[in-house]
Amino acid sequence: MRIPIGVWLRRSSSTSALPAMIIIELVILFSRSGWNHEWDWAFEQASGGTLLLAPLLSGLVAHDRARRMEPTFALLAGGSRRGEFGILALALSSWLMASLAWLIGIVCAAGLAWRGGASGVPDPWIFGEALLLLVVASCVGLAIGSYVKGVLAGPLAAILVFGARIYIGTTGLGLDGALGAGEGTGSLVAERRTPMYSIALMSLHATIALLAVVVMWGHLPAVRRYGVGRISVVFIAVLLVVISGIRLGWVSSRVDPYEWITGREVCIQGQVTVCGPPKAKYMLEVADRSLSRARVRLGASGIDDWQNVYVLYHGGRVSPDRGMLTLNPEDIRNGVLGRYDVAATLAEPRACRELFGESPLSKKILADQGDVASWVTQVLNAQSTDASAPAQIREAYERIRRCVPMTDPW
Amino acid sequence: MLAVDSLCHSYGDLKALDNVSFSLDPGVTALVGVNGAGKSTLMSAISGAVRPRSGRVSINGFNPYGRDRRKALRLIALMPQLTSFPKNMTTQEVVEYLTWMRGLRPSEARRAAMESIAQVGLGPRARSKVGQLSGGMQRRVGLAQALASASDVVLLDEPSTGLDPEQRRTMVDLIGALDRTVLMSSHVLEDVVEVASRVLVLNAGQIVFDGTVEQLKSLAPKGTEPGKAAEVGFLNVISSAR
Repeated sequence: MRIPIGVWLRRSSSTSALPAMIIIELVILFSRSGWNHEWDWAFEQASGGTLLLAPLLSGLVAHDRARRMEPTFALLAGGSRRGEFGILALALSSWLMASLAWLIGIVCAAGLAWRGGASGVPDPWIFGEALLLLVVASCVGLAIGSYVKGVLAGPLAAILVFGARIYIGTTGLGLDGALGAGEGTGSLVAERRTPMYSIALMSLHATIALLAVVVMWGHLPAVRRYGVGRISVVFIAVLLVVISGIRLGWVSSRVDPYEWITGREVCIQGQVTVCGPPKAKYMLEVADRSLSRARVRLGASGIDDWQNVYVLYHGGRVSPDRGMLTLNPEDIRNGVLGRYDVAATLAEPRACRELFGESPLSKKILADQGDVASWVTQVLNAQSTDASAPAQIREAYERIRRCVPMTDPW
Repeated sequence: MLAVDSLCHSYGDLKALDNVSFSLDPGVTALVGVNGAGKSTLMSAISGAVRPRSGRVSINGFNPYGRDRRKALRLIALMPQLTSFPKNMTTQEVVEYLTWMRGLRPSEARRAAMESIAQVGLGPRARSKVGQLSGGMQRRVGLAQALASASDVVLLDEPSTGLDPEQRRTMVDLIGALDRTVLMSSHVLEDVVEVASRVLVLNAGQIVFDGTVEQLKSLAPKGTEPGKAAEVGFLNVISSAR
């Protein structure tokens, strides 16, 4: 395959479109912040570019198949020993180009995440999911370009791949995440990809790619005959797609795409102690520093029993002696936690059972937390010159501190 | 040896090939017919590119639509009527690519491509993009890719179509020098007379004449200009077939 892949790497539309693909990838990567302190979210964010890369790739492959390979290359491929591979080389080389754009995004994301203090071992699943999604896009483009002639092939393939992802994304169809990759939109330091879910998703994508290749192969004029053999091959490929689709539906009804990391925990000990999953080490350091500083500012508040241990929830039971760490990575600036997160953390010295249901008491606790957090924010913003907490704030904090703790896993 | 037995093909209700049978030995054989007679369909069907509805093709005993397809395809090469290769590929890339598809190893494909490009006189344009070549040169790229795989049987579908007289002369000389089993479709009788030893006339998907050039010429009325005898003989065959 060296010769045809080499030729298409130099001559395919995907090669011409590589700069555009890189721009798309980087624009989507930098379209939001906060991901640069952890590996998984960074790689999910970089893979989010597949939302546009996949349709573009599919359109380009369909265009090349319909416009450049037709009629001569396709005819000669039909009468050649390696004809099928000669056509597949177009999809493969175009996939390599799109993967290069994705990889550039991944490298940028990795570099920034490394600088941003990301720790632990990244989840490997997103790499397989993103690359396999691009394989699907490329193969679907090849199949559409085989059947649809002329300039419509490219736009049609692009619209189909994009439309299918949006349709499944909005309606679900019981196939959460199908035709997608990199859909994590928030911090993943406390979670990891559920392997069973990822395998089911990749199986569906692999079978769709296989079906597209079979459809392309069936269109070769040398093969074109509706014999038992051809129909059987198509039937088996369709059956595999259906089975893997049903399996994904079954899996997604039983497990979440992401699961809590309930295993090992690290704790950062300063003036307060902040614990969480190992992947959050940098953020825990930031939180510890920020909470410690806040505690100094609040020294004259008159509240003596601030919580000393906080945890970033990562599944399982939470000890009643621990407060809940609120952490939005987007709000970390210059190694300091956002003021709202500091205030919200200090206002939650215990995970209260009432907050997991709706009752007059839960509303009261929420209101108390809001009052405490607002006052803490005012002090931290130095808008209040008197750091002494008013009586109603002290009472509100006391009520939160003495609430009935939630001891079951969430 | 190439043998075609009871070949039939149709596009919807239109019969393109109707029970076509013949066999060929080394040498140049011309396949002549009016537009739409089924020449390109026959060429494609023989080359293994378009599966016929029924009938059998045998290339040195191998069937391009049977279990020995890979062996058969190694023995045959087609220059299609339409040589519209991707315009941004170079001559060398096109020929190498198609030669590799025919089953040669990469190093062999590279060497054979350069040799055949030189053979058709495009050596200096090997690195030129196809879009920068004239129509005649693009036809020669088509011929080069058919010759590169050193197949025993070469099918040339209207190789001189669209060429100016000088380019046509070059093409005819190239074909005449081939030492293989060649089936060349054409409706330019001048070319046929010059290079072919045998002529097949195809009309409405049927072989209506199978003989030597001299036999075709002999079908012209006595007194016909010698240079026009083949053409008149061909027209007589066609009109009597209708």
